[in-house]
Amino acid sequence: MGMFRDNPVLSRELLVNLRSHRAFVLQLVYALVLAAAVLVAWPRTGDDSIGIGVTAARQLFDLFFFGQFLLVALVAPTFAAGSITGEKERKTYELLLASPLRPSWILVGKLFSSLTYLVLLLTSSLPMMILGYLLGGILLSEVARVYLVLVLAAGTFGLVSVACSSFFSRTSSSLVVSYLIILPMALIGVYLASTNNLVLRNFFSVALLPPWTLATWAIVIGAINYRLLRPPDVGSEGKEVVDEKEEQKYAIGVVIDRDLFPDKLFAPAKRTDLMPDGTNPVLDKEMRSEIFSQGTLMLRVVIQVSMFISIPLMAVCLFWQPLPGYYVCYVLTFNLLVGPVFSSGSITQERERQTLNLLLTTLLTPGRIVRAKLMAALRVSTVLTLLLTEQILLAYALVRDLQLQFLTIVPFFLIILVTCLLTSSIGLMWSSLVRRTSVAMIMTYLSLMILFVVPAGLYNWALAIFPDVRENVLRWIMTPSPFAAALSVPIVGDRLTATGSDITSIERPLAYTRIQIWVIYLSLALLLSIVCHLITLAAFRYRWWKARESV
Amino acid sequence: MVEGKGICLTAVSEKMLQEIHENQFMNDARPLQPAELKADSGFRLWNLIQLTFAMGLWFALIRRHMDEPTLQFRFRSGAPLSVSTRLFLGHLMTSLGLVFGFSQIYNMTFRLGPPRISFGRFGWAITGLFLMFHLLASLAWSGVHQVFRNSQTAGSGLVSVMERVVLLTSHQGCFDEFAWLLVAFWAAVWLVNQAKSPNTGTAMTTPMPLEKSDITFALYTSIVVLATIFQRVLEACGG
Repeated sequence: MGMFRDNPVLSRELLVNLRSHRAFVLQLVYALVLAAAVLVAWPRTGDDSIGIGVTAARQLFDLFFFGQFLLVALVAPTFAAGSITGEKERKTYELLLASPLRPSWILVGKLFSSLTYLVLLLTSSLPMMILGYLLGGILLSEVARVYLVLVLAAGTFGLVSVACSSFFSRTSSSLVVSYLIILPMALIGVYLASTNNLVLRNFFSVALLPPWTLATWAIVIGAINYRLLRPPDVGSEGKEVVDEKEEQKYAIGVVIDRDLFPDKLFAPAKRTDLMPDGTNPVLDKEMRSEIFSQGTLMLRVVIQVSMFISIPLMAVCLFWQPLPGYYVCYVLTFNLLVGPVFSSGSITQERERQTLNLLLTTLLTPGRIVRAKLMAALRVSTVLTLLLTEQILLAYALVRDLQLQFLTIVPFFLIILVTCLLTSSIGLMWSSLVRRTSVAMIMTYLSLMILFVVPAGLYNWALAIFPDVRENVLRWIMTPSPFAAALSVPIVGDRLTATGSDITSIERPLAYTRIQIWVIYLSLALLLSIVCHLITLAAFRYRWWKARESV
Repeated sequence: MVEGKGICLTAVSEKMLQEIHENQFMNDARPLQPAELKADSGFRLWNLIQLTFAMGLWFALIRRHMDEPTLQFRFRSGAPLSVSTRLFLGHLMTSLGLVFGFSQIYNMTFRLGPPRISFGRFGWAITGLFLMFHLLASLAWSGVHQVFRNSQTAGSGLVSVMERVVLLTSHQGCFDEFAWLLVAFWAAVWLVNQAKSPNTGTAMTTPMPLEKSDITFALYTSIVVLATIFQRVLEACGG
């Protein structure tokens, strides 16, 4: 118990985190949102409300579970992925390791301090969940099971993120790799939780999940302890720039060779000659030195994990059934996770290293600097995203149903490319508006979630709450989401004969217009990208102007 | 001036200059150690893309083959297990063989040049070419046959016949004669390595250092041979 009661790391982190005003406000907002959801979904009929109550309770139950599961999957890494990298970035990592604390104490302190607040948020939802229980149709054992699953998921995702944090030196790298590892686990979890097979669901949540989770915890805790006990990354003062040749000697799995295709598309080799005239020096510096100055470990992990996840997904979504929209959703999710990493630190990192003013005093104009930052981030994230699209081309070349509607490949690629531009633009915008990379990254993810994911949830919620409004009117809510755009591209396949309908509802045109969601999305995303770019430029120009004033 | 610190706007850093200096003055003094050489056994991004492509080709071939009326009929009428295993293993071996084989042919022809030929690359090239010739020959014979028959019945047009031939050849091609060809290939190389010079009595050839292509080719050969044996045992048992 001393590990918890007398743990200085845990005490310090809890005091700092829980005493802040932000913690209180966030919890209050969370409880208010949940209360509003219950209030809106509460049945308004009188005596004959038993059936309606049961349906509403079930809907609330599902909404709370899936919403909170999503919250755990998204928020646990943001809290935990910076727990050790934060120490490294603040240069206090070695001090921590040199203290008499055991690695297990440090781990417990970091993990619990990261997850306590999340568990607190989950606990705040319990009274609302019990209100759903009062409507009937839900067993208390189901509520208990749901919370067991949520706590186990929070623990697993948090531990994975702390492990990533111990392996990487930057929070951004740790965060994106955590998300990529958690993504397949969360997808499997959601699939098993949403299945109608009650036996499978019970077996999974009660019999399979706890031992599997405990085994995973044991392995990950062992790995983190080993890493903390024998840290290879101490003495960071002299090792800020990783020697790639040295790194490649010990690389496991994919090796990045910056001289060869396709590696040189996103990681061109370092210059050994002088820059030709007319080259944008910031772009050249970003591409050839800056982005991979911390080594290629993050990139290699990201590429391997994403490619291996893509194999079963392409089998199911492209070859088993002609549903390329779902596969494109995976590609977009990948871009959503990876895109901000390269853009949201572009300007904040200059600030953190105190080189921004130096950059501003060069002869380069703000427009040229911002364009270079955007191009560098966009190039890396787009090439990495397009690596996952060879499967789409192959499917369109070889699957008969897709061959017959070959032109539908054009909107898919347009959606992917425009989304790459949008994620990079939003990341760069936040990078120019805030001071710290971690804040810029969180704000970028938050903005992208609001744009990409929230519309789908709002649409489903509005469908249940406003039954009088036509469905094609409500579908306008989903226009900012690239996921909805990808699913709205009409793919006929053999569904005409199988179900009797030619297209699904999301593929139909929107109300007041005869065009589909993806067309609106493309225009909207381009417009948003331009707006973000203008804001970035304005913020940067303001800083440039201030720097000139000070000179 | 430090690389990656945001202030390095010139192209050549101090570290790079130091490396150039070391390369110029140190390499003459001592040979590079194996760890200092650029690793050639690394698994590169290009290999990962090829693997994913081969998997996609495998899924596509299975999908196309399962749409074939003949196979659908066989499955409906309770086909033995060996039909399914042949379908999956055969197409997998063909996809891997074609993709990695042609990749090595491309490497030898355009990227690496003749001096870089190794045993594994040679094996992969033979595999790719064998599978391609096998498919093309089958296509050609079926085309000739089709022209002679000049059949006009539904579902037997030239394109659909060609497609069927590709699918059938691809899911058969990696078994039997192909497996034993690979075994013979390995045996021949071993014999050459074991052969003694008539004059000195020493080995004629020096074994080359192991490369990535040797390992992957050995792995592929083993899987093909084991899959053939497995398939034959399954069929012999009536499965």
